[in-house]
Amino acid sequence: MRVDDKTFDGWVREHHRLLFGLAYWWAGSQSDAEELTQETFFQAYRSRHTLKDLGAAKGWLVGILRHCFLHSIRKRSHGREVFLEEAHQVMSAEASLDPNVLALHRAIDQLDERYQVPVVLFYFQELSYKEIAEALELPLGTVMSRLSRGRQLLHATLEAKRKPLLVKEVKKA
Amino acid sequence: MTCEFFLTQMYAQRPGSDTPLPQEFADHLRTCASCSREFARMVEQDASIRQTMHSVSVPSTLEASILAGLALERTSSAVPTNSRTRGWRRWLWVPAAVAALVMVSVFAYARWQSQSALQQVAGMLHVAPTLSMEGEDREQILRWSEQVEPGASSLPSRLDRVQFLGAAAVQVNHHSAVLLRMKHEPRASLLVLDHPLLGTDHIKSRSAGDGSLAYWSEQKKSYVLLFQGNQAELQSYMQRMGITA
Repeated sequence: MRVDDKTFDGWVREHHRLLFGLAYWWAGSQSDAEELTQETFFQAYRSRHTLKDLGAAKGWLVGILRHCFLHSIRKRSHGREVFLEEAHQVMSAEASLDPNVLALHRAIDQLDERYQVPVVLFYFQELSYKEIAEALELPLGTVMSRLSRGRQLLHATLEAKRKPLLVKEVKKA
Repeated sequence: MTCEFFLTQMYAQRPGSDTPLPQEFADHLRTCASCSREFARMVEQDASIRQTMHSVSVPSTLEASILAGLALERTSSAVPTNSRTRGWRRWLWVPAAVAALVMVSVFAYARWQSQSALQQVAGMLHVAPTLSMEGEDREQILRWSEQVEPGASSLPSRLDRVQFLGAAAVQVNHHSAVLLRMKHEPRASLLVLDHPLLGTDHIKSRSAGDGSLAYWSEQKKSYVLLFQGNQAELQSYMQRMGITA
């Protein structure tokens, strides 16, 4: 399938918010999320000829993002030098986070990766179960059971902290 | 259906989607008050999680930097590989690549400058500058501010209800700015800066050291509300003064 540059740029405009949001909650930091979102679009551009159906671009991009995310986790698990200044920056960034965001970050962080990835996809509500299954390259039944278990664990973790998330008004222009 | 089975199956449902709840599940929900409460609690918690997830804002420069990176990628891959290509045409990609690199650098610099400006501004929460002029006449204060920061006299309409008791001239990242101290609320100040911190007029807020900030940009100017208190107190003050989106 031939994807011209104009179409691809349109996907960047349309889907970069979703990809950034997913990456943010998977990776847990804004700078990692930015890096993952950019890397996803660059990799997608290089392999755009592999997309079979233009209508499935969103799920395809999410699948590439997931690969990039898993790759970044593997890279980190092989050892990464962390500078003191960087650690300090992470700590101050965490201190300035909204308490609801911080509580959710910690709860998601406690989930196993096999639950973490589909659960975040579920809450963004932009993909159907079928699209989630395609993006994760898993059978639909597996996705549904992981989602069920993952949501249950997430709710239990949030409740255990006895700090229920407060509904916060999101300001829009 | 038993309550135990209902509670194990509850999280497999996706309320609010196009897929209706299974009949047996819906029947149990109608007849069992306890499970119905649990289900409602789950739906409420889901809504909170969803809202929190969506509350994280996307960096305003992200889209542009991806597009600039793609432009660079395209120009690099467009370099002729045919060995027969000779002459000046083989270097055509260089100016395009340089232009793309400049674009990326400009976006990165703008972002860095915004971050750095906000850090400097946050410092004012600890040591607020001494007022250069005092008075309670809003018009007079704004006229004085206009001399420091042209355009500062015409504040956005969302600040119509705010009264001031004085102003100070300050510098933020080599930009001239004016800091207005609020009347009736000693913890609050407003900074007017001739440099956009955001591309939009959406209000963003965050904690900064011992205080909180709310800021937005309009017509190439930035307005930063500094508050010596937590986020909740800042939001409550903004609501009181009608400083909302």
